[in-house]
Amino acid sequence: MGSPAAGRTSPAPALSALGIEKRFAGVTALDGVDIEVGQGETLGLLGPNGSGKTTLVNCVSGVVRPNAGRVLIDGIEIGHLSRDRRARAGLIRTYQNLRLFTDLTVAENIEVGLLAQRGRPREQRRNLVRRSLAEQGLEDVARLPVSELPYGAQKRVEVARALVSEPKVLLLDEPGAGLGSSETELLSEALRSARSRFSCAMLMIDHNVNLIMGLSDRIVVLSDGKVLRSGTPAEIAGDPEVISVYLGQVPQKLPR
Amino acid sequence: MMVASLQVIVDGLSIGSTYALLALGLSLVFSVMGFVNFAYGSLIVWAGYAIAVTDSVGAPYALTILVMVVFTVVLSIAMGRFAFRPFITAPPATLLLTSFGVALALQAVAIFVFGEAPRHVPTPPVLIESVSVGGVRISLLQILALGLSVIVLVALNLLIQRTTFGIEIRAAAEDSKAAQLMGVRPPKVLLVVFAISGVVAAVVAFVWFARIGTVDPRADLTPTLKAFIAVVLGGLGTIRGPVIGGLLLGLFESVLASFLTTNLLAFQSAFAFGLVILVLILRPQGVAGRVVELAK
Repeated sequence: MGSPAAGRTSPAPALSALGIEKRFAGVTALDGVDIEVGQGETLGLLGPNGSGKTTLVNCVSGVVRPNAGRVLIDGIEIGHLSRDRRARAGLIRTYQNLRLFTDLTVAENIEVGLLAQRGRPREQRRNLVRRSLAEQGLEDVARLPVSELPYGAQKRVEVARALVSEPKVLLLDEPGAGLGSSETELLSEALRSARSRFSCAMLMIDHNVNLIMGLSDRIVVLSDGKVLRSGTPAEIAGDPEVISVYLGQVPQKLPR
Repeated sequence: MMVASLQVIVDGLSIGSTYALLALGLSLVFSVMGFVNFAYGSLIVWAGYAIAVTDSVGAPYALTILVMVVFTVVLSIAMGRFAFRPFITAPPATLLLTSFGVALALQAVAIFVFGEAPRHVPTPPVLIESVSVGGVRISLLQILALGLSVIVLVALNLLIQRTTFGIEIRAAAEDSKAAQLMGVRPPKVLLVVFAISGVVAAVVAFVWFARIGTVDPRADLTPTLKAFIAVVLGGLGTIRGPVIGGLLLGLFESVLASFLTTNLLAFQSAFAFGLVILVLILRPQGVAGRVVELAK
């Protein structure tokens, strides 16, 4: 495990999903979607409800099987792997609705994030969990059952659990949902520092356009299960077709 | 009177601690897989045969117990691997029916191989001889039963609460799909849980057959039922639930045995089930359990 040697450019993107098709009982949710996320790159997924954003994340993480298409990590096919083997290949996701283990303490929940990596010595695991708790400001509640925390703090536990193993690829399904503006700021900060520390590739969905625009290097806009546009945040925000399909209320000024 | 009631408590705790272990083995599988394993008693029966067969070839008692422990754990893992793992994603009802199938199959094989007649399971006399401590009669086996139960309980609690394995088991028990996305392998967790449950069954079998002295192919129902009653009394979803349930059942039986007249004693099980019905009506989650949600 661990990140590739610094300075070496990986020939293949960290994550590619190519020609992904998914049909549910006659409804085509994804109709041949291609996305690529480079190492250390953040790709934001935008699109109206029902455009296929969550389905795409589900196909990549193995929650649903696509009808066609390939999923690759570092150029290696993982589309046939089970969910746990994808996790052990360095692909970790978060959920729109929290999927924390309510019976476990905060620290134990974060430790679950390390189960994907066998063979780490106990002391190292402890240190990683401790650092992760400190990063998210959760030290004081580490021994509490996670169910006793307020929503915002639970959301931070979920982020900590996803980041603790320093995944190669991180899928974030609405990480900002239900957060206040100061909490969203903390979230952005945590994701930025994770990216600079172990240059993980991120694929992110969120309804908070400011959050996505502020964090992403590139944006892909989905519409009716197809890629409508792909470009930098500035290009996307200025694209008339995107505005008409989705960004009806484009922010006056892009946050920097 | 004082001594008599002390005797009832000692007897009740000793048999109750065995029931507690039985219930623990059953509820362990339940909490992870969401089904009651009705083949659990078959493990106990086959453990009894393991002792009997090893003894019949002239092995010393300690060796027969060692062989029994290894055999029971292997049988439990095999049960998990071949009977239950193929249905790991199936609804709990499928697994429940599977467990009935396994119980029937293991019983049929036992009848075929060993016949219907009970077989003698040896016990060193030193284990069952009672000594009098201040008027209360107690055997080495009773002390062993209590001691072993405490050891198993403490070990199990440490394993579940303090180790990475424990975190893995608890995570898989609560949300197997989410756990899988974090790299947990549910099939592996299943095998580990069956292995642990096999160790618990072996400890129970040692105490059980030392007390009873015989094994027959249809003897699996009693341990399964005792475990089931204890689990219902104490409640699921915690370690202390089955333990409290087991001790309660032991004490209840011990009290009944000392107060009931001989002709009423035949209805001892009926009284136990009456108690179960009462608990289910008044406190469905058990005395010390909590509300357990079955997998959706």
